[in-house]
Amino acid sequence: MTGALLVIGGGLAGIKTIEAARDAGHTGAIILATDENHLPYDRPPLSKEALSGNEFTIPMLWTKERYAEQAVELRLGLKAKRLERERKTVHFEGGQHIGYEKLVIATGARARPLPGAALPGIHTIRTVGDAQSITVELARRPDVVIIGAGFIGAEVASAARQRGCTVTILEAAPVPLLRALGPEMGRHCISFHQKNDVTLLTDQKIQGFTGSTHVTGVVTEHGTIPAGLVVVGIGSIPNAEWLQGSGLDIGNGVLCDEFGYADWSGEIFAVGDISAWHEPELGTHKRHEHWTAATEQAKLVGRTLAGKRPGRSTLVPYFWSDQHGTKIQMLGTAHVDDKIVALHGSPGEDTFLVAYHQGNEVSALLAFGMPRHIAKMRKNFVPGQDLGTLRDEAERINTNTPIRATLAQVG
Amino acid sequence: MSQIIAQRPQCQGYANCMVEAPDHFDLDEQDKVVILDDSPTDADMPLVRAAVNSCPAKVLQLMEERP
Repeated sequence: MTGALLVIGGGLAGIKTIEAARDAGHTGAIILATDENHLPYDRPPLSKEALSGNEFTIPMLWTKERYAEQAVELRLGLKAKRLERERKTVHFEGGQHIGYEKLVIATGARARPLPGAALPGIHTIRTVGDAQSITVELARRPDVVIIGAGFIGAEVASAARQRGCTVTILEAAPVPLLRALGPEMGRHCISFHQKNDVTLLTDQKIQGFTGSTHVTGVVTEHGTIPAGLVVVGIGSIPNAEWLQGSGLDIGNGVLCDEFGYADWSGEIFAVGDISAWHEPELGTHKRHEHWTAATEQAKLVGRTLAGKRPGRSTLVPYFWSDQHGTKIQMLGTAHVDDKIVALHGSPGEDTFLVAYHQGNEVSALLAFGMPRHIAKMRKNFVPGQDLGTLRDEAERINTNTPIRATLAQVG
Repeated sequence: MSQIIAQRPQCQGYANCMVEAPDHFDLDEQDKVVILDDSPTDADMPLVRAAVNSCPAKVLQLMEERP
């Protein structure tokens, strides 16, 4: 009998890998071990719907029945402690161990803590438990301070504002989201928040917090901002400690080749937020931390595990964020020195689409409130595409109103 | 014949389905999913299954005909 496929980590990447492996015909035993005590769930809603105050059900990735249907043995509450490659074994806290034939590392990342932020009322957001704690605090309508103007912070800010709180975002850098969006659109985010009654202050150094049993304020060099709830969103740390001493190459995440192999044995893969796959075009490894990237990596590795040719990832980086009732989507990767031109509407309007470009070569598209356009363009967009062609395409989509089908739709 | 069902009120407009299977899914003016062809043929099934699985909001469901 051959050994099992062992997946460590119960997030999106682990589940999607199993899904892809089974879809591609993998029939062997599969074991999924996760340190959480919940069935694997999806994280994007945690900084969105989960904070709305409406009844929230945990967004399970699979129903309970599906694990049995797919013959997946689910082991909850098992925290990986050490990987012993020589014996093809993963050791867990509490003394248990599981052997594998193939191993998928999908332990994800955790929220980066802010040093000195230990008072009750100061949260990070990554798990269902975090979201539940924050939504309980939001019910008191506290003044909210968000530390970090990244996407997670901005989403929490938006949710808190929608629940009637006064919200301030404090950002250390002079421009929010500079690396992701570039200076011009980064600055646009400041006015976007302002328009939605959220204050975003840049160049802020956090000096400490006031309060004894619960946070009451955030101290900056300019003074103290009242805060009954603080949410820290300053990035993430890959959960790779358990792999120390395994001999795997760990940098900012588990370093993999462009197919997801984490070593030369051909037996170990890493997917999702913990993984940094090699990108030949960049000449370097990159940890993506986006839902779509995790899904794509999982698809490729799942196929490989089933003995199929994986193909190479052709996925153009894509992410979305939901803020103040607007879907913000980016396709491709912007460079800080790219020029920006509007393909639809303009950045002061509620909905617009802009292209990042150098000369005629477009590196990325950014849309506020235009999901249908982005969906249409996601199919064919490749970095370096001609600006004129994309402009024509964007215009063509404008004039296309969707055909209304009436079949089998609820609601 | 298999059938696609959408819980439209829960649709968040991610449009992942539309990217996977553009002949079967679209968004309307409210950015909610529209099913263009709710009875996919066998040949369409891999695409449609991928589309259903790609929905972050779990709005789509596929009632597959058992042979």
